[in-house]
Amino acid sequence: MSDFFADEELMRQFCAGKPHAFGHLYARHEKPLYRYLRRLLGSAEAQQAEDVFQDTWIKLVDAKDSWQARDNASFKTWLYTLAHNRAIDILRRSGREVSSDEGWTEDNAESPWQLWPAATAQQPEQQAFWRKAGQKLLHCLDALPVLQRAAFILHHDDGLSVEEITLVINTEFETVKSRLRYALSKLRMCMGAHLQPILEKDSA
Amino acid sequence: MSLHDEHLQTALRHAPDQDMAPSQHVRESVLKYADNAVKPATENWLKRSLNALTTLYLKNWHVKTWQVAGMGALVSMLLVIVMVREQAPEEPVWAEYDNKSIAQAEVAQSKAEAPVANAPEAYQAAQKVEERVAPMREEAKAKRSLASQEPPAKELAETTQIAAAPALPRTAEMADAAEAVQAPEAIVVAAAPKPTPLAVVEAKKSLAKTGQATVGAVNEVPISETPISQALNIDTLLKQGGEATAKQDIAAGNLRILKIEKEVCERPNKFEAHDVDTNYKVLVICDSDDKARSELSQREVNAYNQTMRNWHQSYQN
Repeated sequence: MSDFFADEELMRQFCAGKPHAFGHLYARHEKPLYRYLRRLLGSAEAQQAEDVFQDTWIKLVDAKDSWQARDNASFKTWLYTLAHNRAIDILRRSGREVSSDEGWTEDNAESPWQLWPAATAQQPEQQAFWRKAGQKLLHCLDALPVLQRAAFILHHDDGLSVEEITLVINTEFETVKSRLRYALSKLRMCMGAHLQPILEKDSA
Repeated sequence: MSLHDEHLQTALRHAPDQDMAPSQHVRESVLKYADNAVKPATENWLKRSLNALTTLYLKNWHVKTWQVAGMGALVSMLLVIVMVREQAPEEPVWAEYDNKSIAQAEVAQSKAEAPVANAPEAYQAAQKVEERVAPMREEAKAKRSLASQEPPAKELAETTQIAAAPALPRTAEMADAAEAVQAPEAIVVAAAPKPTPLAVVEAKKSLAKTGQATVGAVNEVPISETPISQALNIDTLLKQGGEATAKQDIAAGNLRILKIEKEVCERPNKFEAHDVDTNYKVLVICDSDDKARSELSQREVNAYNQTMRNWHQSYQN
């Protein structure tokens, strides 16, 4: 029944003293948020993911009164903002680069996908291809700058719009768009380089 | 360039970390923390609700008073009915209890009315009753003399009623005591029958024969402060002789030891104490200072006492 309630309604119920509403919220966002944190932190800081995840929810509970004051606030945006900021703190403390965006050209950025199978393919051999592609993509994500990584994951995995991403990572709309473009170009190049041997082998 | 890439998105959804989740410990910790965070809010909400209900109830109190009273009375009545039905014993239990009570009462009455095996004790009981009644009779006599001058009409009427009352206690002593103790003084003055010493003696004779006496009556009679009604004159003693007088008293149930006091006789015809040998009461009689008469009196008193002691000894044996 909780599936029929929006996040914001469940959060209001939780703020009104109904703990079961929080349970529904937690169940709904548990895996996506944890996954976002793991991918954002990267393989180097993956062990910190659980701590950041737990801290994020605790901070959300503690700050529930401040959330009530925001009438038009999106719960998901707020949740990911808290998680993102916490993860950025971890990364900064670890000495990893966060803010710098590498220069990137868009020359022939879409060329690698010309030989890839369709994204909607359901055949077993194609499923195996995509599993390998997913595994390679995680390696490619590790190579991305943190904020490009965050923009790409939020947009492609968590389904946030560019406007929502601007709230989460607290930056300008155009900056988000730029970071998304950079992220896509890098990932395409990275993924093409990784998968080219496989594709050539399969095509042969 | 588009900001969305389906190929990368599909690859991302097939990544090996797609179904990863935090540990159960983290999940429980977070949920417990959230639950504790809203508990005070829940309590506050309950308090607010209770306060609101209380306020609403008090506002309408004047309207619902009769309803509340009716409900309270109904609940109380039901509670009492339930308690009575749950705790009251069944009829056979009460019947058994009543039978036991009646049996115990009968046993106690039979014990009280049972013949006393020890005749001297019966005599003592009779004496105690007499000692108890005597002062009351003396007082009644004194008042009767006053009342004879101006008898009130009310007292006369009461006298008539009491005189006509058919109450007849079992013994003369009991009747005497009952009237003396229970009747008001004014009534006693006019209505109390004047038991003559002879009547008391006769009653004691019958008591001695039947041995009937109530234990309660014996225990309630004070001994040392009660004067004896049968005054024994030293002249009578000298005239009849000590032995004969003693036999006469034994027959009448007057078991006592005599003691002569001379010069200062402050306690004529009063019981002084109990004799050590017989435990009979010692009656003090006065005598003159005449030496010849004194010796004779002492001889008769000795004969009297010896006869009493012999009788007591023979009774003991």
